[in-house]
Amino acid sequence: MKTDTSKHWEEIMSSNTKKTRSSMWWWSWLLAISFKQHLLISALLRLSLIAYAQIHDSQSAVPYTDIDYKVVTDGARQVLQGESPFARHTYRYSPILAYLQLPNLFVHAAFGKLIYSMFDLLIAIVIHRLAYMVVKGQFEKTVQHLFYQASKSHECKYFDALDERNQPETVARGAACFWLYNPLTAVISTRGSGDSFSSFFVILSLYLLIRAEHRQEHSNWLIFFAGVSHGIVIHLRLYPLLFSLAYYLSLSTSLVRNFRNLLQQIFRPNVQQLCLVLGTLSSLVLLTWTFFSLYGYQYLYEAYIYHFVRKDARHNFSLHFLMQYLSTGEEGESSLLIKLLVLGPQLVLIIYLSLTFGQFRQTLPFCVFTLAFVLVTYNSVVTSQYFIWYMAIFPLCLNNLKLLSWPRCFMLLALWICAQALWLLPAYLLEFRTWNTFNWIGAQSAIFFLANSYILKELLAHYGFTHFKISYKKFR
Amino acid sequence: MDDAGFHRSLTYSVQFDYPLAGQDCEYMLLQPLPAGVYISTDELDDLQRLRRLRAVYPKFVDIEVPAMLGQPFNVLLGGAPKITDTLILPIHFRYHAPSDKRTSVTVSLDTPELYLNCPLGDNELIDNELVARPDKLYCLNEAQSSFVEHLVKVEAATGVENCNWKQIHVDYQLKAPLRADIPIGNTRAYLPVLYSTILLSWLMVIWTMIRTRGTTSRINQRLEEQRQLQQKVK
Repeated sequence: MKTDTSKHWEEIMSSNTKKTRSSMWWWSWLLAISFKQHLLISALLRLSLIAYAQIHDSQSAVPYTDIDYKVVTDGARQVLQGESPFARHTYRYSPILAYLQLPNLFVHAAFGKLIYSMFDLLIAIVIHRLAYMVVKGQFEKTVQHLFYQASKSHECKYFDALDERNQPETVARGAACFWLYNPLTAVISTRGSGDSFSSFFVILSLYLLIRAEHRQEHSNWLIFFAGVSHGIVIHLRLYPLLFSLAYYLSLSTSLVRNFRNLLQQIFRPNVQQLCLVLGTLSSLVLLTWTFFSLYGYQYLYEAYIYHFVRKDARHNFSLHFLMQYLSTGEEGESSLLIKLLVLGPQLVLIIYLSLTFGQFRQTLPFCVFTLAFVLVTYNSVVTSQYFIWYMAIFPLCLNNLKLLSWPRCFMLLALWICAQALWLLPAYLLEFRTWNTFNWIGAQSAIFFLANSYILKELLAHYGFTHFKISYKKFR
Repeated sequence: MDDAGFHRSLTYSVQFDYPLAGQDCEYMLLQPLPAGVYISTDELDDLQRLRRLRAVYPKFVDIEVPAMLGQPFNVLLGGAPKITDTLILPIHFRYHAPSDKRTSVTVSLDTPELYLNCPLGDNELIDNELVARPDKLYCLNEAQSSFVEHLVKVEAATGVENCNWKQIHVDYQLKAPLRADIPIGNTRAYLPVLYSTILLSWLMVIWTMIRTRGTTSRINQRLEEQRQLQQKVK
């Protein structure tokens, strides 16, 4: 027991010396400005991008605005005329998006972009609060743990001083700014993509789930509403459905160690797990049923079934690209066994991650990040827009990845970018020079896949959550 | 047509001689496009909005399907007769099915047809020699983006009214043949690619799990300890 405790101490003390971060100029700039000011700056940044888009699109034949933005606006026009938004060809989204963009028609064509940018800012606010809560909660637990091991548990109530340099506010602001100043997110929202709208509900679910752990009163209601938010996002985008197991397990009160435990968890849910399931089902069923009764089978087909039967064999980042393209020349459908072998790996990894990082709410944000990362990496179609699926959740995990040294972080980032750049060369040669580079693109897609797998392994292996600099003197 | 790429432009230089040039007439260039080619209606909408193009094209063209599932269609480009007029139509080539014999397929485009429509009084401006079929008038069918021969029963059946169009002889000067070589994959590679894809993804999954098993179980162990402790403190 004693050696264990001292090891723990050493670990915590050693993290004291690791930090050199505060010396960086941008870091101090980030902290010099209040969170509200950061929000204001990012809002102005987005407004100017929207204004730029207006000018650009009126001049150039290659529009800045996303094509889907136009499709959804057309869908909104159909709605206004009392028609189904699916009357617009290639409208393949939830009707909610068309309703959301109705003001495009009677206020201004760029109004939808304002809404999506607003959701960008809302995400930042939730990230800020969530990161704050996670750090503070983890700190309290660590302190409690230490006091207990030093048999002073009665004192821990009076000990709530955080080390100055490691205030949760710093971490929270850093995480939120990571999202706010990410050029990709700003551009995607101002191009009129609804990705931030759906990401908001993913992060809101996480927030409510973790909030429920820190608050005793109304915690069941919080979990119910986390479920509602989860149901909304499944209705919007389908893919978050695969986060469900992790959400569910994170509410358990005992560790799943084997398959029997897992079955027990699933078939004998506790009250909180029931609340989550009820919340999810209520919003999912309500929304889907409402739109089904309004727009009929066409809604189900365009919004959901289409995404399963769709075969887009045009070149993309996916490992499956070449295989899918070549299979268009094959007669008949591939056998069930082949389909299982192709889809199996991601399912195995999703279950593995849900069972390892999905069991505690402290690790839940990281778990959802890795799940989104796996979903994108193993998806049958990957374009750069899909990266936003995990980028929205990544800021929540920054504090957990301090075990990665700065050079290593840059190495991983460089690897990610280089693998994409290398892919772009044969893709360019095929698309614009009509060289026959199919096999080369396939090889580069495989390299990008390997790079992503390596990054995932690095992130998983370097995950850490108890890194607090508790002054030893204070403790004594 | 541009030399390379899946995205090319068809550039037309339409020349009229006097007395037609500058007259109050209107011409339409009908470009038939094979199934291996598509246009982006949204792109053409934008070009029309910017007044860089006046065109008639189908309302919906599926831009996702490969060539074997595509449909041929026409695009009509409009203008007023001038000494020279330049029209640019952006087109895109579809993906073609892979094959075990060739590495590319050739997609050929037909030459365009020219139709002319002058106000009734000015009809004598059009020299009879110019007209391909002097006995025939054509109706512009915008819904199908094509011209149909003017017959009384057609008019009654379709309600198409714009029926004063004449097809004109054109003296073509092709700068480059209207052919494109579109690369295709090799079907013989399918099975090796399929198996290596499956093998690679399973290997990476197993490798990831083996390499991270230690960390994850350590973390869960510690969190479980923490949870039990909390329950005790309460």
